[in-house]
Amino acid sequence: MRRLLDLLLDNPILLKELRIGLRERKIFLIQSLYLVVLGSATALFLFSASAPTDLLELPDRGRLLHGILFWSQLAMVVLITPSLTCGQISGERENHSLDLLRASRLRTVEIVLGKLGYALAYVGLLLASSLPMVAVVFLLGGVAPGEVAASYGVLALAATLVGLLGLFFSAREQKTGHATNQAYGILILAFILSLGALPALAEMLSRGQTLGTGRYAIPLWLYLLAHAGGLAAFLFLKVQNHLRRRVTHELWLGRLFMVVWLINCGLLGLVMSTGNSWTDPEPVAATWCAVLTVALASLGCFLDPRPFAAPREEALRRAGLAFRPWFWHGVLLTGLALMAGAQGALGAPLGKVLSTLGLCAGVSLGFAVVTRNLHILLGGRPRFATLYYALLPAVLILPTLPLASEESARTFWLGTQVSPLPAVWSLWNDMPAVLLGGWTVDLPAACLLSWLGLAALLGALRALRRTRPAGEA
Amino acid sequence: MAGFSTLDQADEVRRVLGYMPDFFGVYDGMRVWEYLEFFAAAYRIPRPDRRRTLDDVLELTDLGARRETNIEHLSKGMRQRLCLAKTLLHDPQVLVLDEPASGLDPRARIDLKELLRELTRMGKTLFVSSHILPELADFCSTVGILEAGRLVACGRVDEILRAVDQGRSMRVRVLRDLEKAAALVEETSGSSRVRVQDGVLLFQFEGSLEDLADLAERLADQRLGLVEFAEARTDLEDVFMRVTQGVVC
Repeated sequence: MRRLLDLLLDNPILLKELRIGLRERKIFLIQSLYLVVLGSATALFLFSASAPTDLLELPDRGRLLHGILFWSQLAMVVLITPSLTCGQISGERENHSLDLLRASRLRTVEIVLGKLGYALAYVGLLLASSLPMVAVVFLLGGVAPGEVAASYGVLALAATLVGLLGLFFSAREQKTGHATNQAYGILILAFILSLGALPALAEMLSRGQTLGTGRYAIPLWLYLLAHAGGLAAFLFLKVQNHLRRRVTHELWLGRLFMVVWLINCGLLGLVMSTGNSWTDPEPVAATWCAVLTVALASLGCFLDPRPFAAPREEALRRAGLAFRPWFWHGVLLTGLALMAGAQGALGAPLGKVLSTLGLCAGVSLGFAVVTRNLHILLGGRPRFATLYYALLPAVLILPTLPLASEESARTFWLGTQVSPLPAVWSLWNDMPAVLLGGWTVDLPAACLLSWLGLAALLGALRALRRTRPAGEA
Repeated sequence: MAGFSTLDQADEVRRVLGYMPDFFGVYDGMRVWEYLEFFAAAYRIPRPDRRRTLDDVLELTDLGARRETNIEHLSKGMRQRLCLAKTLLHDPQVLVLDEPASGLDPRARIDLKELLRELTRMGKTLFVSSHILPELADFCSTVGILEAGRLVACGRVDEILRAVDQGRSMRVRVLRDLEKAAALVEETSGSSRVRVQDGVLLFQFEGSLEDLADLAERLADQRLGLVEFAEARTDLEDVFMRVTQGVVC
């Protein structure tokens, strides 16, 4: 504990960043702008509203104002924090001072914590300065102090995640411009993709949605918090790995994903143990989808092939079992098989369990082969890993959006060609086939075949390129 | 390095190693003492000792008067000295200095050379990489020459030259009849590459010191007005040119 406190409080990098950063004019401007936006929103809300006819209206207005202030703060925090972290490591590189830090006795964890700590300290200052405006909500009522504290907790968590995202790209890229473009590109993509899901998620969180029922029910917020923590730890390790290429960091990365994987397996076990899930197939389908998502995300963990600087580290990496892709495929497939066995034992229809298992395994393997081949065909550039993480949510979530609105057969069918999630969904909802242009199409089979077909096509392209004479390349 | 393995004892190696790169960045917006204090903390110098350490290195690098100056207001030479001060903070046993004199004016170069001499007097081991070879010769005890990633020569300058030329480079000056002196040297066994350059006779000699003394006596007996018979002073550039082959990789 004392060591952790020393890392945070007696951190030379944090002190240096605070010294330099807080002397810059832009810091003052950002804070002014932040308060002007919040102040304007509060003033507009208070002065534009008509006088209340009934005192009972006030709590509703209080809740509305709290909502406005929370979402505007969230938007600003998400936009401001990456700007503070995107240039932190690439800037040191451009300034030729990174080598001096690496030659010193500073550990990479100190460098990363110091850089992140500076951004979070500044965001903390912004959030603290917004407190007087948020306190207006208490004049109107309708919002408990605990809710306000929880909203600040969410803001701090969001700042940590996007700050780490900026730091990740800053460590990966040579130039600050590239890091900024990629970090904001991913944020914009994530925003567009989650537009439909965010209100629904907020609504579910506000009414205390749980995963599973009975005594094993897990609150949704806890599940989301665990995953956000996993993502933060993943980014934290990746930043360290880019700073000082060490096999240890990669090993921790692998252990982290094993933990996330086990949490998801355990969660499925808990959902199944409630005993009544089989009457309603939706929770099962949703959990299978979550498991598949984690499986695909885990595969991406080892897709970044940036070579290690030291030959010794590279040799250690090559020799380690945890660095073989087939080991990870094995782990993922074993997890899937165990869960399928548990489902079958608890009375789920065997045919459905087997077909879902086959679909998940086939799709995750197909996805791995497709991404690997794309990677090689695109020249094996490290930036490809970024593309992977950008494409992953697009591949998994975008095609499911038609599910939320209109279940038009055509869009749904097209969705299953790209995303495995609608296929799993349809399997558990007894709608495995649709009529398309006079043909009856089995959705999960079509999904699986399209992934395997794409994998085969890219494999053939790669083989063709390999056999082409060197002069034609 | 200094008894530690660079593979398994990275932290110990960093403790005994001071590194000053060719291109380095300083942080604008910081004062000189703040910059040094940051690196003192980065090298784990205990907080109570930092002030004294800072004073010592500032005095050694002659930057004491600039303690409160903003780094962006320092000249190139002063920044170079600041980087050296940073490198010396943790009193390293081994210093790796990459082109320490590049971009400096003549006065700053002389100051730096004096400072490096002082460091060698303090018993530190200095590794200096430089393309300004004549300057290095003044304080380098050993040189290593790298070409295309390979160490092609390593040792004292005269040793390397002897190994390359298989002998001594000699220099003879006579007042009369230089051709006769050249003929005499040429017919002496052990001498080679005899040539006249700017009125001076130069040649390589592979024999013993006794043979060399014989040759000097014979030249004196000829009454040619022998005024100089000495080993030619070879600078590092000569060594470099003879040892390397101009391989570009």
